[in-house]
Amino acid sequence: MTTKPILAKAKAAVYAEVLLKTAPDPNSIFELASQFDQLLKTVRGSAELALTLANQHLAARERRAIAHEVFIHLRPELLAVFEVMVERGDLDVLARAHAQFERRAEQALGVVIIDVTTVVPLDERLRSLIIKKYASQLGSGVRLREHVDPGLAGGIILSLHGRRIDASVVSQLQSARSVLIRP
Amino acid sequence: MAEITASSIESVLRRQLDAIMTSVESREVGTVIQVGDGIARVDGLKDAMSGELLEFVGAGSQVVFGLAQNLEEDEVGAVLLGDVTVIRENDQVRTTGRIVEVPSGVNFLGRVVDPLGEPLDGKGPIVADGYRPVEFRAPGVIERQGVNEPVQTGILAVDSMIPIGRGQRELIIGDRQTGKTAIAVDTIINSKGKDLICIYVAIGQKASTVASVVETLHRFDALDYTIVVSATAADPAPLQYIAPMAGAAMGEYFMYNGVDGQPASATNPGRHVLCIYDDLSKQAVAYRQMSLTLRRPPGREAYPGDVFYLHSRLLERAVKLSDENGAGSLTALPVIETQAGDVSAYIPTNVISITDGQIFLQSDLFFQGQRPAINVGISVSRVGSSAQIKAMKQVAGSLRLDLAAYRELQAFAQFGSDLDKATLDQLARGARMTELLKQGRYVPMAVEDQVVSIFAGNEGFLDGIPVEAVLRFRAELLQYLRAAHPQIGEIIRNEKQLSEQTSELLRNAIAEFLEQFATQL
Repeated sequence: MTTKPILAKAKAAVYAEVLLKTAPDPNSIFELASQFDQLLKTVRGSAELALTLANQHLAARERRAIAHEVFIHLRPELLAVFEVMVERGDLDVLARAHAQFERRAEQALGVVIIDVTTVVPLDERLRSLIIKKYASQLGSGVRLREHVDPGLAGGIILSLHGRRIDASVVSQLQSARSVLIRP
Repeated sequence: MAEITASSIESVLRRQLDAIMTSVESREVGTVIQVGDGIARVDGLKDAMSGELLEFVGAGSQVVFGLAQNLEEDEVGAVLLGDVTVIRENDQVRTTGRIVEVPSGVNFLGRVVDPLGEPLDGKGPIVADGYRPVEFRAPGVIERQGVNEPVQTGILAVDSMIPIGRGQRELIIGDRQTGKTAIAVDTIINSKGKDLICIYVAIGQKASTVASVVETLHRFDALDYTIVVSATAADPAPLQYIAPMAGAAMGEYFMYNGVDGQPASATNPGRHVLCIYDDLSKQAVAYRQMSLTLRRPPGREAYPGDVFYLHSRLLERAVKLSDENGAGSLTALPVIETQAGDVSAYIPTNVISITDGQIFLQSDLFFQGQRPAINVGISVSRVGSSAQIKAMKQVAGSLRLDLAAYRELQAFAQFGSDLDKATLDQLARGARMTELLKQGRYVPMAVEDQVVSIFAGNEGFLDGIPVEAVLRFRAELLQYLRAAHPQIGEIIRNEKQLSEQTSELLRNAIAEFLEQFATQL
């Protein structure tokens, strides 16, 4: 049995734990979770960036400097942890570290984090409606991570723990289209 | 043409609108981490099943399907079954809860489709009668019965000495350009009017070759009962990998359902299907490419360790069903290409051990003019005479042994100069029988013509004819019998055996013809 997955898991746990411990307060934990999510999406979304940060032919301090420059807007705790990850060539554990941090953050905050995507920003009424509904279903506190995507045309998409509830207008229209164009 | 009215438009629209599902469902989603070489690594999807169909949502909400292959601790390796260029990192992936299915039905007959059932021939969309899973468990022992009906290939050498039955797996193996596809195409052409649906699966071939096969089938009116499933060399490896299984699935639709579309049973017979996989060597190469890109550990010749299982589970789907299950059948003719005649290589030996016999084609026989270039000595059909009509058994029963004795004698005679009359006669007979087995492309012979030809050879009617005139004799004899004695062919066709009376009739007719023929020599 290869030790590499075990090692990767252990490393990811260390990064997640350190990041959690550096957060000064619960609100920071939530903000760190959101920024970590964005960081992961950014790295994944750009193959060039990912390859550069993982490029072993570049000196470690060079990779660290690139990471610092690109992600300077992040919270300093997250940036510091990410720079260490890049410097040590541990970019392949980024996704695991993110998953582990999300889990730890939810445990620390005593909530479940739900990603909500809507066409326009949520108003207070809708926000509290969603929180109330899922708090009762999940038996736990709920914290929303809100996103805006005009491409949905309407409706709402909810994502939590790898599951997605898509009630957006655009997906309903796509479903209707696929039925109507069927021969 | 039906009149289009406002009310008919309204009713169609209402029906389609009612079919739209507006319910909101919760689905598991993952994210593409890496994509390339037709493979995507997906983060998440912890509940994905092996072989499950995944939906990749690419740019512009374009959906590309994929197959979950590698289930790892925190990611899933999937092969993409469509346009890989629309999928990028960070794209969303959804599980579908189902495995890959292909459409099938009578509307697919005469069409050229890709392994997902999409038409390639530009003749418009196809309305499917049903869907079948690409991966399907082969029927068990109880659901089967022994092979007892012939598949007439129309090739004299095959039908007489290497008979193929409905439900059998017979391998066609040989080097490049030895006539493997020609045997398959001739079999399809000869299946006209024999209640046999043919499915020709082209894997990894040139598109021009597939087009040429389609054109040939069309020319001989064979396309009407044939489906061509094409995954050419330009198609991605995953499509080449599933193509044979898609062909088998399309065939299984006809085998497991009666003409009325209802499940086959004792009172609702299933249909008979012939599946030709041309060729499985290329499917193995595509599977190797897929597996190596998925980082699966390579085995012998860099093939993945389950390459045997790839072919065995495909070929086990060839079956002759029991009467209770409708008595339908699926006959498989897999094709394997060897390199320099090496039948002891990895993939050829795998498939030889799976199939119920093989037809060996050899390049040296081909270049000597023996076409089809079948080495009858090492070709075999393990089903044997239970797949032959009685008339053929009667005339061809000892043909293989006779030819084997002839070949041995021929080798021996090269060293000796003084041979006795019996030996010379045996050599003469063997040479003429070998010449008799030659046959052109796209000229399949009806079984009664084959019986007559071999009968003429066995009875010694060819012994006085020069070897180079044997084929002309055969052609003209058959023409003569059709014109002057049509009842003989009809008797053989109907009774399927040669009674004493029929044999005497035939003997006299051939003698009659020989007198005329001899004067022209």
